[in-house]
Amino acid sequence: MNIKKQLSFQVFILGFILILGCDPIVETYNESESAIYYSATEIIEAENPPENKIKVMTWNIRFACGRIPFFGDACGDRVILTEEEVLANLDSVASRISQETPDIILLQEVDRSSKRTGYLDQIQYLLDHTYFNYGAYATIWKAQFIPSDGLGRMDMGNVILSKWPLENAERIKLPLREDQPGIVQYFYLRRSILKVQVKIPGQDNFYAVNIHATAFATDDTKQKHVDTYLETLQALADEGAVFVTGGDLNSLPPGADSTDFCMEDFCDGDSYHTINADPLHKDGSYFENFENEPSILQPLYDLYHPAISLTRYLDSESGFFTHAPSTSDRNNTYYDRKLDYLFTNIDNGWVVESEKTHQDFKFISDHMAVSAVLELP
Amino acid sequence: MKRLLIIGFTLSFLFAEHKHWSSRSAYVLPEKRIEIGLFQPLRMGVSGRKEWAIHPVYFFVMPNVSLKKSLPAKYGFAVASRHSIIYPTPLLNILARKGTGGLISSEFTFPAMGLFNNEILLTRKLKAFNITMKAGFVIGISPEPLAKESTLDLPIVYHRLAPLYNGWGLRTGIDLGGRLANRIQFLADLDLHITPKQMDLFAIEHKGMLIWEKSERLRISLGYKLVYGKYPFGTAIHLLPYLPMLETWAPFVDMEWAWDR
Repeated sequence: MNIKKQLSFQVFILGFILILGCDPIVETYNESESAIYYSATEIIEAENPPENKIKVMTWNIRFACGRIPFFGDACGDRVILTEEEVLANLDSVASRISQETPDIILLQEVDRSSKRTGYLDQIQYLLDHTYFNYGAYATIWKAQFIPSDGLGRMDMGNVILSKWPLENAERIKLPLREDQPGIVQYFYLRRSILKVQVKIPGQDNFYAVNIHATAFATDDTKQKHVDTYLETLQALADEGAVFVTGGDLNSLPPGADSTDFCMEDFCDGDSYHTINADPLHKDGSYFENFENEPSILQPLYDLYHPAISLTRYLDSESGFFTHAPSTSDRNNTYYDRKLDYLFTNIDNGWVVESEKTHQDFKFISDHMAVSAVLELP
Repeated sequence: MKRLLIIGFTLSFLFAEHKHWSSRSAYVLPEKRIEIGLFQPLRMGVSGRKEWAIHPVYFFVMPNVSLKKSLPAKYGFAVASRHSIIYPTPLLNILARKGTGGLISSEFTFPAMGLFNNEILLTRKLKAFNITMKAGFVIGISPEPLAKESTLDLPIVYHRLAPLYNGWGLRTGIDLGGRLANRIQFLADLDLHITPKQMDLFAIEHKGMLIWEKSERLRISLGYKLVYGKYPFGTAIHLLPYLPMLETWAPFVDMEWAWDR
């Protein structure tokens, strides 16, 4: 090998080593990318769905933080949980899932390599501590290091777990918030939709779609998220696919009796709704930031079939509430609004009175799970 | 493997040492010579056999002092010992805060604690380059066990603070230097940090630098640092400095000045 070739080879090797070290500090994404697949350590072969019915659940598990007063959403001081806290909360999540035995579960706020939760891969943990066989993951917040509040490394996202194999798992990008300074936006959440094909025996084209829409945006980012969500679902419907979908939409049902929870959620020392208050409303607690926000979910109700109909919800709202931040603990209030939903495009798919809002999960997360039984075509 | 060794040898030529400028070698600064850099410590030669150093930039938030002491040469090697004390408590408590810039959670408060670093340096001049080998240990003393969740899991920082959590650590490394031209030198080093016992950690750090010596009073260097190590989240490789938002690596630039008392 002559000197020139030898040098070129050395430069190539050195360049390769250097490129390996060039992982971005914050992960950014294309419009659509493959999601990450998981499988349980031990696969238990799943049976065909009895009577062609499956049970579906959605649950924002708050990264196994339970009701601990986390700094970001509960006026608390806690940022880094202990291993014991994470495992105890995660065991509670796994235990409740195993009691309810959904066939497919849509999870939001699941950590897999985050400083705040001891870098535990919660997806693998849940797979190995429940009966689920397969999982798919799409991140909504990934950074090597977040230099704020001691958050450090972060990897959190949406997850779909299933008894049956998953294919075509796709991460669909949602628009970023535009009401933040550039440096904050850079380190902030990059939300997504997780879409995956579930290979249920006898079903050729069945999909599960999981979304976690923005919570704290004060502009119309939430509208953009719902629009992207509707486009995703429409595209599936146009392909002739059947789907179950849902998640934490961070939006109220149309007609909800309150759209302002600032006074329920305030932290000590906060001041809202006064002339000098800045902001006037608490981020994430006010649902009229832009025109038509209170009815933002109406197209979903119009186009698809909710597990809990709007009529049923409006008849007895409190029975279907799925969320209250931990600040509400002081009033012994653990749920005072509905943010979590299940929908399908299967006509008459939901088995009547099978739906359940699991308000007994109130100490395990700041969101209550919603489940229902779906009869497949 | 042979080719990788060739690369290493090529890089090793990057480091040399001007007789007037301090380095990481067993040589100490001449008496009365003082050096300081943007990112380098303030170094001062005393009696031709001792060299004191402090990092003035960090001093008020992380008091530190280092003494390099020349020892009798052995088997053709210049020999020195280096001892340093670092008191990181004020800096860590500044970084443990809420909001932007809070690198550590404000849940944690650090007690008065110290890092005591001791190492032996052996330097030999060969035809084309200098080689320095070093080995030592670090004792980390804290009056109470630190919460393992309070670590700062960043390259360079994590493994240097690890002895505070573990009690002790080992350090070894090799520096190679050479002169490319009259005023241009290259420097390459490879350091291994081991934190045994319950933490079972390691880090391999490599630095490459190109140094332009404008005079005996001013030199400018640029280079990179490559860190491969085990962290609480697993192993990772980092090329530094890395610019967030621009998502690119950029060479670090340093300037050093020297004068005589």
